[in-house]
Amino acid sequence: MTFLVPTAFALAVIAIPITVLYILKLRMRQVHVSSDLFWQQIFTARPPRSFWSRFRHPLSWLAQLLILLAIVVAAADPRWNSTQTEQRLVLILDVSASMQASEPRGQRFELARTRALQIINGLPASAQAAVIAANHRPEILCSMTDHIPDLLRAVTSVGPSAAPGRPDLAVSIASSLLQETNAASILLLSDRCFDATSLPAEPRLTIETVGTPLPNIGIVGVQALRNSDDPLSAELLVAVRNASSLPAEAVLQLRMNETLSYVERLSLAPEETTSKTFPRIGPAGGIWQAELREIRFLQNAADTITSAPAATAPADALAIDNTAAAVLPAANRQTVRLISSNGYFVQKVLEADPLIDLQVQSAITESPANEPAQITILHELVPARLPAGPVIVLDPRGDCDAWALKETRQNPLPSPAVEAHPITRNFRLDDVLIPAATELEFRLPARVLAVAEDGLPLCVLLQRPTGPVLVVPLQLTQSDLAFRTVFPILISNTLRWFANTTHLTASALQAGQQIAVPLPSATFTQRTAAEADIQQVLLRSPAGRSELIPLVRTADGSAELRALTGPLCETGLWSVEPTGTLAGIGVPSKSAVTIAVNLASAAESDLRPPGPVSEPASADSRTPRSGSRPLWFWICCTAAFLLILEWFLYQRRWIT
Amino acid sequence: MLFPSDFLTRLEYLSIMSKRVFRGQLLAQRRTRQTGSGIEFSDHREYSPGEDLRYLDWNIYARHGDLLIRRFQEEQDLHVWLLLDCSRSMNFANGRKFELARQLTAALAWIALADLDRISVLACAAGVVQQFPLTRGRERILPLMQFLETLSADRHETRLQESVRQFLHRRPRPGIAVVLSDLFDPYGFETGLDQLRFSGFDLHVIQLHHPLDAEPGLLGDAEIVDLESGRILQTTITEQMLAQYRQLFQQHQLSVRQYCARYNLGCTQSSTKAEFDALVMAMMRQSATS
Repeated sequence: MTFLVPTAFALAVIAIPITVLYILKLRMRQVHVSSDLFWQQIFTARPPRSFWSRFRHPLSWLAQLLILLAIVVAAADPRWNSTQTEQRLVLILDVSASMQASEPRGQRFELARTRALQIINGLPASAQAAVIAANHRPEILCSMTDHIPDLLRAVTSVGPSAAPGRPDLAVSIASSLLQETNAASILLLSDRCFDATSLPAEPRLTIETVGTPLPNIGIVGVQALRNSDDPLSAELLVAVRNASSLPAEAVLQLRMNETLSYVERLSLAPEETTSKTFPRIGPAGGIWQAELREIRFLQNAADTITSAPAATAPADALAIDNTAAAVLPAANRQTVRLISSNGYFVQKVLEADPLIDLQVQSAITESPANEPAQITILHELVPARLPAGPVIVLDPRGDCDAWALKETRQNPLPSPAVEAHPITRNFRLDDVLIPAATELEFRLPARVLAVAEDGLPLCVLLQRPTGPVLVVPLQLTQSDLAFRTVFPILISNTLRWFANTTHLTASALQAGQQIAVPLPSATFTQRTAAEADIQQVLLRSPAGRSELIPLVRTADGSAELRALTGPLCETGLWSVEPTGTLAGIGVPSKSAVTIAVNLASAAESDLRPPGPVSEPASADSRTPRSGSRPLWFWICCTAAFLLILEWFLYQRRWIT
Repeated sequence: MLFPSDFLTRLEYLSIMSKRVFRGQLLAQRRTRQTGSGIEFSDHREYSPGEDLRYLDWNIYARHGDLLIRRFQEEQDLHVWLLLDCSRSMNFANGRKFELARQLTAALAWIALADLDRISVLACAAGVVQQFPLTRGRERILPLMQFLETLSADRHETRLQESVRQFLHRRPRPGIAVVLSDLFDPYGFETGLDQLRFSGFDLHVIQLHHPLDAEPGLLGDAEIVDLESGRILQTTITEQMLAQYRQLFQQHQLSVRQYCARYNLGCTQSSTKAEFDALVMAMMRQSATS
């Protein structure tokens, strides 16, 4: 037997005062009686106490010392010496969203935590263990150690997440921790609501299932999208899944900016996933919130949603997937000045966009100095100095301060790969006929978004302090680009990006993702941040917790700023807000960016572990564990028993 | 206060009650059996020559011709001996037992004096330590009360046998003997009472005890100090011991009652919670119904 805390034996000195106090003659209270006739008959008077007879009740004194001994030994945390070789265990605790499911015996995660504490307490003295939380990004809560309190503290400190878990990554990390150790095991405490095929082949892995199959209905997908061909209309897409073997009914409520917009009753067959689309007309944006209510699983077909629920009907086991949200960006009107002498098709494309107020000029004129920067589209005509503000240049025919013309290349072959950028979303040039394109020598930091097979840039984004410039050096009049759908898509994407309405690639994110949030460039640029010497902005969670997250500056000198968030492991509406100093330099508070985070995971919403549920007793014997409580617990029980015994001794109930 | 201002009033009430309800039953209302020169006719007997012709009943001789001598009951004063226990055990719990015993002594003495009997009070402990001599007349109640007030219960232990022996050594005239004590006599109470009984005394026992004598209410480690002997017992008192104590105490009380019943003695057992007048009334009721 070894002791994890041998310093606790110092407590044994308490035996000295116990003995001294016991030996010391206690002053007994004197009681006067009329006569001791009857007392004499009850007992024989004892002689005056000698030194040794001061141990009047040696059993009581002995019991007190035994109690002290038990406490000291328990505090020293004894462990049985194992005859086996040194064992190593990596305990992986599944903290994914499905572990928040409510079991009849409590929350799944709490059951797993209790089991983990049991296992740690039952570790032999020679064993080492580590604890990993299988979150969306696995986290080592406690590295390999034999210090039980650290392991217990690690298990106690962690809580369930709202994000899908990645047990495969956690197992990989565990394998790395154990390396090639043979006397080692990996124990995954999980509800197995994940794709088991994704787990790496690890012979030392044992999965202990926590929880029982439970029915659940959840929102497994939600997105809010504006139609690319009609920016004034938008749609909300909601996918609901019945992850049970019973038919179910529910009421889906949709709110737009807290106003109830749609209510629809859903009847879902077992295992059915249904998708619903809800339209919205208008340029205004907002926050869609979907909620599943009145969820009922029907035991038989005669049940309806209006009837009273059967007493035996199971309840929805997971609440976190019953709500979801999505952010619909506003469609703002834009004033665009087109300068072209031969831009009929370009003009028609722009006129087809209902959000654009178009001004057409056939020649280059100087803009008034006090005129606010607006979007300018230059077709063939290029001034010596590009105007301020966002600029789109189509088929440039001259030099300017941003580039110099070089040669014209014939029949460049567009590459199907394009740079990932909001401008190039749904943009492909591979089937576009390009008879000629102009090669440019850029004088500003350039980001090539599309390129030909020979390396000729076909779509370039220039960053400059006064505004971004998109250059498309194709000869538009000879190409069929203007007749292709990609052209209005390119123009629309570019204008939306200029208007900063494409700040997020998705209207809703899945919990656990980490993103760089583009901040509104109109009011929140690198220049304003630099003026205020701001390095961080505020990230506020749905629960109201706030933290500072760093700003990310682009290396190409663009004005765009992004805020890098950590993993968003909480469902609801997050917001990225300017700090107080930024607000002080005129950045309005409405420049805050709202991020909708949902569970939206079909795997996490399915609360039925695949295959039979394994009991802890049938788990792999290689996993060091103990079904009983730790040794110190039984020692404490012994101390409690001795305490009771000593109490009886003190009361002298059995002394005659 | 041993004798409060209304004490004599309460004594007078007891005296009246004793005459109205228990006439002839208690103390001085009793007459001796001797016949002699009294004035109260007793019976007749045959005349013998030489007897005093003044006692010849001439009316019967005139009617029937029989010579009969009239006999008269001779009246003698009844002597009441009050043996008051003055041992230390009577001083237990602020001396309430001793206080009640003295009040009872005064009450009984007053009733006797009111009936023109003679009373004497003997303070007893290990022997007779003090005596209020034989006296009669109601006016003697005040000296008696003064005597009782001067008594103290610090006279060692109870030895009733020795006290009775010393009492009988003075050759007292037989009468009524009232023993007021807790009877916590380590040598036994029976011998002393036997001696009184054998000497022709009409005996009445008044046994007093404090509530703490019956129920000590002690638990745990304690030094038990005997008030009379000063002996100390170091022990740990348990519930079991307390139960045994209660049983022994009840046995002691029962033995006193059985002794008195066996020899047809008056017996009164009371706690010190009772008032003296209520206790005297209870005694008188008991005598009337027995």
